[in-house]
Amino acid sequence: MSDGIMKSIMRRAHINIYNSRKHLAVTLLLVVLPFLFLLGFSRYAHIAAGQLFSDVGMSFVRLVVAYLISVVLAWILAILFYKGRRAKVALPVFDVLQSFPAFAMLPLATLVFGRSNTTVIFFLVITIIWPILFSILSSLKLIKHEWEEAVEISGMGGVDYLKYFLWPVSVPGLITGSIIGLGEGWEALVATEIIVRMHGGLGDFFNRYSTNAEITALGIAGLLILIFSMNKLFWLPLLESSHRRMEE
Amino acid sequence: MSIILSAKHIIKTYHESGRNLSVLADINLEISPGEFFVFVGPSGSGKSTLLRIMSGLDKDFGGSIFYGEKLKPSEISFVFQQFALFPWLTVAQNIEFGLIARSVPDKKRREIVRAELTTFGLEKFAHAYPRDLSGGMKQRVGIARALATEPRVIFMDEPFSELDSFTATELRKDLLRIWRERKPTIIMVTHIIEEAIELADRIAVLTPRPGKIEKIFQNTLPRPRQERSQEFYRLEDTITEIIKP
Repeated sequence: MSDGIMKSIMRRAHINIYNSRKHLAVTLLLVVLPFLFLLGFSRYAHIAAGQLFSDVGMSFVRLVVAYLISVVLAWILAILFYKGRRAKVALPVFDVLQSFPAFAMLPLATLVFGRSNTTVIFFLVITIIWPILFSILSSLKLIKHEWEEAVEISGMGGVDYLKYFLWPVSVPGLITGSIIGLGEGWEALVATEIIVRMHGGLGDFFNRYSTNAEITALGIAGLLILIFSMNKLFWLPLLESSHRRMEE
Repeated sequence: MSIILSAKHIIKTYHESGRNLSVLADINLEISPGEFFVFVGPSGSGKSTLLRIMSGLDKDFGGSIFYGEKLKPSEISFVFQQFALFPWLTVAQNIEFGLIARSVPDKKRREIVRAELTTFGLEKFAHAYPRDLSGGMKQRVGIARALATEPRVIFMDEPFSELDSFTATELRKDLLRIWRERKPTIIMVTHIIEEAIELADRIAVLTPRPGKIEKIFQNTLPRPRQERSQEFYRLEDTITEIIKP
């Protein structure tokens, strides 16, 4: 694909996050790597590759669903409570809730939702949401008074105000928070799957092979490569470009 | 004589650590449509505050502001000292901002933006971001954004004070040209006396602590104004004398 076409696609999609074709190629390679690793790994450990992929896939889907719920909730909360008297009331409450050890909620969640996806996702949401919420709040704190005045003079309000003003301002925080939140999320995900004894998923995988140190070690290595490549492929370029966008 | 904006008994007080600090004391004035009105005064004379009160940005004050000639808030624009451009939007999108707020149709919006880009010599920078522009270019975008909505009144808060003197001179010329062509009312604040004399029809001299209008000068010097003429110097001396503590 020529450089020009690539650039025009990226411009259209408003994702100007890769500086060059080489940058993109390296990143793509990094995504392919974990899959090759998993394939090789399953051969070595004499596990059906399908089984392994389905475990990774199930965990991944749980995390993505929990992440999406967290982002939507965190953004709405941030927009509602980022300034004025509401902020004075809400921020200390958020702070207390954030400090509350999420694992303490796990027995209750299991009681209510059973050994289900809902339990895992619920638990992930109350883990992931805080770094995202607080990062968005800190982004919104950087709003300059003159920007607000310029918006007020323009008379912009309603959905346009969210779309053209509050959303772009909150993006850098959303991305920073996502990186931290997902980091914590992977950890919480595997732990919850093990504790709740979920059927399927990485937690289940580690449970099953807990007696085999080699496979466990390889599994951990695979997980690390997956997380690393997701950061490298997606989050870091996005983070860089979002910060560049806010430069004046 | 018709009046587009009048201020009656404007007072403004800040409450700071238990003390009351009077910023503006009993400001009264009337501005005619199409007039170029400039406030000049040293820092601390409350001129920026007064501009924000008159434009409706600051609602916490005593006294009253009246808009005449059926002026609506949507027909008011503001140019900021530090440009206040949105860094996540391109030059074209910044200019478009007020048009989106007014629900101007897509096609019409593009036409207006293109016209403003041409007026301000920004065609080549339409897709650039504010971070890529010089100060002078940024303020061109700021003024273009303010003009795109075809305002009847434009407030300008020291619009040239962040620019080098060459750029400022050039932008002042552009502003006068646009003012002649489109005839908006311009209400501007500056601390540079020469700038006030070069631009204004009338000059209100503000003195500080608390800010009050010391005198309003009718500036009858013929346009284009000669900065080295005797009359120019004479007016400058008179105003300097008033501001001098």
